[in-house]
Amino acid sequence: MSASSSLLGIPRLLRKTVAVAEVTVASQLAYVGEQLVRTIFLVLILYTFTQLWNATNRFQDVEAVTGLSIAQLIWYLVFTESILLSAPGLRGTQVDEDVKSGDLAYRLAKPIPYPFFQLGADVGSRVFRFAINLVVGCLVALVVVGPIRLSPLSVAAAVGLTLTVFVADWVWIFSISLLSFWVEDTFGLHLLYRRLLMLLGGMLLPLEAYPEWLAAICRKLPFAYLVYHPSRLFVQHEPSGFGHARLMVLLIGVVGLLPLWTLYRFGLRRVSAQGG
Amino acid sequence: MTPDSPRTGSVRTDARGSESPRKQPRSRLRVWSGFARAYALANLQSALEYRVSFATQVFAMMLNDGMWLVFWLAYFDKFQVVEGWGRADIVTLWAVVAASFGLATTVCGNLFRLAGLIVRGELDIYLALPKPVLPHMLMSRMSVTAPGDVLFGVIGFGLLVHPTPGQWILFLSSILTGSIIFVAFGVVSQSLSFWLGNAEGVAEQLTNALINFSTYPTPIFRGVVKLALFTLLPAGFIAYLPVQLFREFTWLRLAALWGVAALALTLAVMVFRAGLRRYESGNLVLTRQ
Repeated sequence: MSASSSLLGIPRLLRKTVAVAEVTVASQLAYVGEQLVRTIFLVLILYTFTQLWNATNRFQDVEAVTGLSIAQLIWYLVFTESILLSAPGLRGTQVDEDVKSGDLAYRLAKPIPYPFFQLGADVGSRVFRFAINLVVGCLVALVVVGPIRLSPLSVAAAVGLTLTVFVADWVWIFSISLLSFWVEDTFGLHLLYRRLLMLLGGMLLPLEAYPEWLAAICRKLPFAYLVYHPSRLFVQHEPSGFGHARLMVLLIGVVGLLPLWTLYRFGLRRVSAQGG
Repeated sequence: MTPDSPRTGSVRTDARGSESPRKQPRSRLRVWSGFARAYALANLQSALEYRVSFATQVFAMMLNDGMWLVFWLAYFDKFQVVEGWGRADIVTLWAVVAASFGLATTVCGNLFRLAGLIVRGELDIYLALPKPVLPHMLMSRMSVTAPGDVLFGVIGFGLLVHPTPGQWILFLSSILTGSIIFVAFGVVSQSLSFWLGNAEGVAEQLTNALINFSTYPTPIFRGVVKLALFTLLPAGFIAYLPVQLFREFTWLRLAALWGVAALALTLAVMVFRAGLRRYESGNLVLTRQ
């Protein structure tokens, strides 16, 4: 097959990937109740941080230090938590399971390449979880700190950027899961990646609230583009910085394709199908 | 993976799986410590079968806890104090809570899987063993990440608090009471499956709530929530009271902490036994791995 015909096949592959994502979202709609139960943790986090910021504010002016009011900090947290809590579970992603159980051998026979199938399924279910988390989070924020002035343009930019984040993040999560070909359990690696996103990405605090030395490190690393930048867009009054952030997120995803492709190619050599 | 028979076979059990009252307290303690040691050894050997994976997970958990600590250190870089709590208090809180949780799930690695075992009718395998069901269920597995929590707690406390020998003893005491309360809470929440059917989700949310509330300074919470933290969700006894002991030690507080731990454990055993009477076998043929 020539390179040009391979390239011509990409739109068709992407259409199939989108179709898988749509089917995943449709099937997830049957489990809205279960997903709502899972948002209890989000509610707890938002409540805890409201109490923490209120307690802090009794001794020191939080807005003077962070540049954001308590209400903005909580709405920021709604968005960061919605992004990270929508990520796949740390214990055994589907890829981990497929590799360990050997089901990967059967999935390779599907009429869509395995990575594209997983991309559609994983991003589809993540979008669904993100939407539920965001709706519940916004309702909780309305109750605990009241409304803030949101710019429709900034909100749209934040959501659009987040969709790109999901794809870029998936590239790295998928690569980590592919390490199951060589290590017994990738839980530790997934946990580390998630915690790096949490701390260096600015999940609990916006980078303005970090010490200068830590904020400087975070700004130079890619993690903040996956968490801080979309969330900051969400609470700010104008969508400035959207273009740069989107470019960086795309770059993070494209760079991640190299380890993904390498690990996948080498990993497939370890797959042996025996029928039955 | 079963404990060696000479140590465990000497305990008489009645039809309900409870121990014979004829056993002397001293020998009972020896038997039980042998039982726990045998399981711990077997679990550790099992984990060491996959050394790289085990080491990676322990290390990852230490880093995970360390990152939370970095978050708090970053917080205290900008804000000096929260409700009278400073940097040292938060370090102590995290060290105690992480080590307590780690110890609880290192020894009782099945703690947060009980609900699933109950609802799937997988208790049968434990019912025939010559010891009460609950310790077997709890100890027959080890969380491979949990030693990372213990190491983080001990190292973090030693490096950042610079404790005196007396504070080390208090730290050890706090870890023991904290892990007992974690185990007791886990048993009660997971035992809900005996009454509610599939209570895995509810138990998971309750556990998450306990861990969440344990890792923030208790004084920031007020009203009904604060009351809940000293009753339904005993985070106050895992986190707040130990930190208060470090701030201002009194024998009364220490006795109260141990009293609460003993009470919680007794309650947990009672709840589990009451639930066990409702257990229906799934008639599953299982092997222990």
